[in-house]
Amino acid sequence: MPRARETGLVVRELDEETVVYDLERNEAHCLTPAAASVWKRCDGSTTVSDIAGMLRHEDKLQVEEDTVWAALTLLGKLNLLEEQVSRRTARTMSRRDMMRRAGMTVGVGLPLITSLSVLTAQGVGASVACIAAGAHCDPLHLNCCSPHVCKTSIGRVCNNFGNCTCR
Amino acid sequence: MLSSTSLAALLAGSWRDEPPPVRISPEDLTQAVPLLIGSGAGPLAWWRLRHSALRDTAPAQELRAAYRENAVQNGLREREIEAAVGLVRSVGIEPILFKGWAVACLYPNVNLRPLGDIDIFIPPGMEAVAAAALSAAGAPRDVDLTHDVPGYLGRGSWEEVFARSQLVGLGSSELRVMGPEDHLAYLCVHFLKHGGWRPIWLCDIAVALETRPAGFDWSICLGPDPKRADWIACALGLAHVLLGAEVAATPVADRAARLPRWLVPTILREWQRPRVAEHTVPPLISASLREPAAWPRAMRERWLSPLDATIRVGGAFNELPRLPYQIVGYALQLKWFLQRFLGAIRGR
Repeated sequence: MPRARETGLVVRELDEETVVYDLERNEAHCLTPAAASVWKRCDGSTTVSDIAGMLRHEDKLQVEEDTVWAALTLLGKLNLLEEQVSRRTARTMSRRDMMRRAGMTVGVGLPLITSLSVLTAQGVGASVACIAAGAHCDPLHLNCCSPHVCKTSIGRVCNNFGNCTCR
Repeated sequence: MLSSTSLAALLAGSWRDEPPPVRISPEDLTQAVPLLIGSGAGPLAWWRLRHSALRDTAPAQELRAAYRENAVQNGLREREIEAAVGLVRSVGIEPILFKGWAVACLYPNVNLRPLGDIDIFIPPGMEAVAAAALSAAGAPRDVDLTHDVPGYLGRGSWEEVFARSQLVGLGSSELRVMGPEDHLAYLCVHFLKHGGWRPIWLCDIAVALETRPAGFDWSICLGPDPKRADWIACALGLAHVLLGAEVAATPVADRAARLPRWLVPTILREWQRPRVAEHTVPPLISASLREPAAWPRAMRERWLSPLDATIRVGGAFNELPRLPYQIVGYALQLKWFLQRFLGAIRGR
């Protein structure tokens, strides 16, 4: 039985999707409500068949077991499960084919999971070189090296002759 | 160039569960996107557009991407907030959060607003203790402890602000946030004191206004000082005029309908440069002293807007011309600079 990974992830529920950011791999993924529902039910004790049943009866989604398998295989390939799970028929499929089949099975023509290249390219959560004490900084980005902060006040004048310096 | 009026129209009502329908051309939306994302209002703009015919256009999808990215950033930041509060509590100090996360919680989804730095209000005189606790543990960056909230609001005390504060859940913790009356007042004064250049600050005021609880005490929010109360009323009036915030059935409705004539144009001028990157601190004056050619620009960069000047001088929001306030405000800056400069010379 599949189990969702819990550590090393930032999970944010938005109105139309769930965004999952993998801190260990610096990758971000968008899960549709269907994929998020599958993932949420991966508790290590619920079978695939039961997950499909819950999606139909509780979430009112018209899904078959195939869709759940497709989602689980994809979730596994994206390292969102503790262990990868696969069905023989899906074992040799590429990630793109899996996403396409999952979308077609659900019937909405959209993938269950989208990986977000924008976020990964910008390295969300990646450390950024901080600004040393005494250097000019942007008060609204506040990126001084700890424990300094970039301060501003009325007229955007800080200490020591007006520059916004780390203190 | 997209007008700031169009920018305001795009953000109008964006803080509501179901914002009003939006009317904007694809061309205007394309121009608006970098301004919205650069000012931190991208997620809110997506929220406004998500049910519109424009949702699948490229610029709208950029806003959606900004919403997703902001969600992740907020998720990381929330961990830091929880950690920072825990560290301050570990030395016996109960902190009060405001702005940032405390105001993001008021939106339909906390991910609609960037969390920014971590603003914490703690009892006067305890800053060093709290800072030491944060520093010793390798605290999250950008924890700002130096807030004199009563001084900022011109009223009250730590004890009074604390008595009105509330606990809000985050993860496995409960964090203390400023009470609604104090928070709305603070957001208004903060907006004005920073020249009102960032549209999302006015959205913050609007959401805090419209989500105020039953029993909201306007006498506390506006405070006993008539001038400060009028500042707050005018900030709320700006939220009404520019963004459509509801002020009916509030004591500020009348004031909102008769704002000083210079105020709205001043804000709209500021919103022509709404991006964070456009509001960095100008270079040091001392750096310009050896280059006389740089003096005109250095002086120009420090000329205050009518709003900045009025606040700086502690003036009233009336119909009197703002130029005298701007001149006095400029003179005060010069006086401050000379005092620091001469002090530094004497100190050598």
